[in-house]
Amino acid sequence: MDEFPASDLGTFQDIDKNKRQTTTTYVSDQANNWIKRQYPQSKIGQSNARSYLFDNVISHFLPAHYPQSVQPGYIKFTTFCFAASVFGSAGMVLSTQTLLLAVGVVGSQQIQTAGVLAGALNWILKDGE
Amino acid sequence: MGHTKRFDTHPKKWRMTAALALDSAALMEIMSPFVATWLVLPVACTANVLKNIGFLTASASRAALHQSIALNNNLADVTVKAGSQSMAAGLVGTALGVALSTTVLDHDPFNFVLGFFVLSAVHQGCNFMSLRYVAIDHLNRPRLDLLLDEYIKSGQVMTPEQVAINEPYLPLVKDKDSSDWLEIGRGLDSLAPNGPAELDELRVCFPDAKYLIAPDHKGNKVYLTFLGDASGDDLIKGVLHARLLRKNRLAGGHFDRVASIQSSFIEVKADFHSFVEHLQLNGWRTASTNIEPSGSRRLAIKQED
Repeated sequence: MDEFPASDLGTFQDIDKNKRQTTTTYVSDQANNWIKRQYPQSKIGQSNARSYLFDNVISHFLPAHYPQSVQPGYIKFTTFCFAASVFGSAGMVLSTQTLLLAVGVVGSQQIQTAGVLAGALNWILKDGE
Repeated sequence: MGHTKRFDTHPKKWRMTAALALDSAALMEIMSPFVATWLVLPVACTANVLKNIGFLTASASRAALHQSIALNNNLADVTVKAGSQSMAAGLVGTALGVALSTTVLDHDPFNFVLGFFVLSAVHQGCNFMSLRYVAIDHLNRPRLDLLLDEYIKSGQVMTPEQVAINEPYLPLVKDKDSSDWLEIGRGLDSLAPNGPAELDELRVCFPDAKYLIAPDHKGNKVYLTFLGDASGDDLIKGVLHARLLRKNRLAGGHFDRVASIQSSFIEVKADFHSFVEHLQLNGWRTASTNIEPSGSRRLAIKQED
């Protein structure tokens, strides 16, 4: 049967039964039936490593239906929040370590282990943060 | 009005206050090796109290911010993902802290102070930058004043995203809004200090409005108090009226209280509907406006026959 591009219903993104992104087109044949065609989508301009990283790691940290279900400024908000939390936690590890030193839990000969101890304690004490 | 309403009306300011409280607590702990031995335990306890205050404030204001971010009734989804992001960040940050203290800072308490100041500065800076990108679409007093300033100057209404970049939310600093000349929610002794006859004069001006407005006798202030059933749009009308009243007063010349209230009310009736329409077209939700400070009052007027 011939494909008549002028009677495309339109192309859109879809997921096929192997859960891969495809481009789906409906074309009509001469008997006026709709035929569904699916082509695997090649992400032009995006290397496989980056899209792999996004699909398997970063997408788990983002809400469902990511771009449409949140405000446009969401990704900048979360990136800066993440950075703020990283540096805040690092500061708190330093402060816990000096507190342990000051309280005397750790003698000054054992300063080397105070670092690891502070890190572990910080992690355990972080409930409901 | 309760005092904890402030976490909903000013979530960005209180998010920054929370980060400041957490860093102050950490600073107290960092300074603990340098104080006298008997002071270490009180300092550590105060630091713990500040940390608890900081975590609670952060979680409350983060809830208000997430409510603005979630567009599809997916507040729980946004919250759980934010929780997982902050756990991942906590792990990375703990690793960074241990690595820093082992290698660069060399376990010296003096170096820790310096390292802590750098980390804390970056923490506060990143926190500030993150709040610029949250567009809150209900009105509070600084946002309403910003919008009114821009509207009166140029006739344009800013979108929530533009206001989010420009609105003031530094912690511990008094916002540059209209609170130096407009007092909302004061009682009758401020509105009508000369007795009930003055109140009747004010009341006769506009029997349908949901607020009472009175310029100050001596200074430059305007007192505005809302009636019990005033809703979002009525609050905006009251603030607009106060602005126009002040503009009349500052224009100079003979100032007759009642006449200027009436003439500014006529101007308000002309401008108010177009302003609210512009607001709603730009995506603002005017029904949940909240501009009254904590401790403010509302009046109820009862007719006695």
